[in-house]
Amino acid sequence: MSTILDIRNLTIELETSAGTVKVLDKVSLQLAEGEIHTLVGESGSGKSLLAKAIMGFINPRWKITADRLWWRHYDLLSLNPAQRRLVTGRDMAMIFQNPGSYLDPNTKIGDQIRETIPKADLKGIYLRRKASRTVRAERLLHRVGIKDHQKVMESYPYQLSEGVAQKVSIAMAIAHNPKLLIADEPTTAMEPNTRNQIYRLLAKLSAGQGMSILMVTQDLTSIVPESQRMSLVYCGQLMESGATEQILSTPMHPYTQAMLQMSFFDQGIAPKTRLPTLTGAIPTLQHMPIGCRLGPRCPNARRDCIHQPRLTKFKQREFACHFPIREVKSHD
Amino acid sequence: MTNLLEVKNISKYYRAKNGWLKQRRICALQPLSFSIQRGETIAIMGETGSGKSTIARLIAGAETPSSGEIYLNGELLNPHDYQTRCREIRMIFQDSLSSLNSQLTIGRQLLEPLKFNSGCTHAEQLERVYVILQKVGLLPDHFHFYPHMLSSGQQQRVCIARAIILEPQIIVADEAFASLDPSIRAQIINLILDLQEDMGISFIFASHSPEIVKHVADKILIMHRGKMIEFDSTQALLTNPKEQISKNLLQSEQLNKALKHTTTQE
Repeated sequence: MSTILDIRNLTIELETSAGTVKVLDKVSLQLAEGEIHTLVGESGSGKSLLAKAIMGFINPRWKITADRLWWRHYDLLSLNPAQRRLVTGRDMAMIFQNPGSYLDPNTKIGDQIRETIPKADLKGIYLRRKASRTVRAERLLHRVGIKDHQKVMESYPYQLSEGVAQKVSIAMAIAHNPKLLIADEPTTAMEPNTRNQIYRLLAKLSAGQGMSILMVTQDLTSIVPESQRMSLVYCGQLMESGATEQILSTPMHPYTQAMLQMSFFDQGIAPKTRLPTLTGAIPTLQHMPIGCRLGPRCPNARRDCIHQPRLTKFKQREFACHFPIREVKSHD
Repeated sequence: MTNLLEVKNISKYYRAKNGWLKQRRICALQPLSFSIQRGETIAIMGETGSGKSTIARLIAGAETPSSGEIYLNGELLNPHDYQTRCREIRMIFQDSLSSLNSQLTIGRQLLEPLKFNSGCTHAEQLERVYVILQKVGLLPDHFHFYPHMLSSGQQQRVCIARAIILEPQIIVADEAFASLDPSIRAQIINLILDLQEDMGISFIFASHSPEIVKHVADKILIMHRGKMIEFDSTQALLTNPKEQISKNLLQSEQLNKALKHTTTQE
């Protein structure tokens, strides 16, 4: 599989009252065609910011630098805004958390979906075009697993349940067959059944149409089972990245291990015992520690941790830690 | 030994307008009964709209039941007896920021329940607030902070402090862990386990995360469309759930997947 999204050392700096803060600090990410990549990070880790940087929802006050920010053969940072908009508009789409709240509350779902269907796909004159728009919209709803399209198209966003609203938003996102779908915490605060439906839908889209999906989540318990690769970010720094199965079974970074222990409670932990946690709280933007930002909360922290560790590559995975949990065999 | 809390045939109906004069009764909760011992933890699981929040709100007194009684220590608890209720049963909500008053400092918010429910002097009340702040892992300095100045984990700690400050017998939590970050969530769970051990509080919480429920709860109550499907100890429900619904609720694909990997690895 070829890499379609290639990010190397992406840094985003923000001007705050306390000086310049690096919200994202040298994050690298590669996404292959048709792959589901999970990006895990707690709040304040800059995971949504990374998604926005890829999509180009950029605030002019942010300073974005990167060694590489390539989408297929386009260098996104060197394109002018109009060109960039053309590329992202054609190839990428994004869905968000709380789907019900960002659908237009005053417009019927049917009209909202009809609006997203690209003009180029429609043929014929006025009435013919209008009819084919409706047919396309119905087909889209069927594709995301909504059988009762008539009822959904006639309703307003507040009448839909969360799961259906998220399906509608996925339908709108895939209307122009994007190559990359960025899902920013699509299932937070959803009940397990609905959540699994959305996961199955996303997995089907990725497998059936070769759509790459970047899933941004907060927590290891909400990883799509089909996800091939994953990355963990903490406070804007990449902690570990690699194949999902490998990371879940043999974490290298203390942060990954801590997250695993905190999320999968009953792995060898008796009920009612105290959970192993990271001490302290997530630092605020103004008070980022120097070096490895996990430093003050890391159980393995030593003196060297005041220098930011370089990404170590080993067996197709990467991690940034001076003192990994497992030994890295150099001959691998 | 009498049960700490006994819920008997409690139900809740809402009225909805149907046409101009007709009314329709919507059943949020069909009659159900269960009981809780001192120091026990009960998890309420179910899908959205299954009535799990309704149970929590009924026990906490945020709503009046349409029928049925609640007994606390063998005595009937009047639905409008807010004085006893707020001393013995306290509630924690999901969204900690919006459940705190944004215009008062943390200290004033914690003083408020003491002012109305204890006969202490002001000095004693202050003393108590400082003790509680330390107990939930905050600093005495946080007395003068406003809610927005704290992180979400600290806000949730303040909510817990507000819940335990009157030394209640029961704490009711409605999805109190859902919106927290994993590392903070683990800290809060530890805190609640510690407090429970210290003070012997019973804990009733609604949640849809099977991991947390398995770890924390002694007994699980499974709800489906306003009906109680099962109520049994965690162990029994995990080993042989009687209904398919409970099985679905209690298993998590991701967890099984991760466990499978670790076992194949070893």
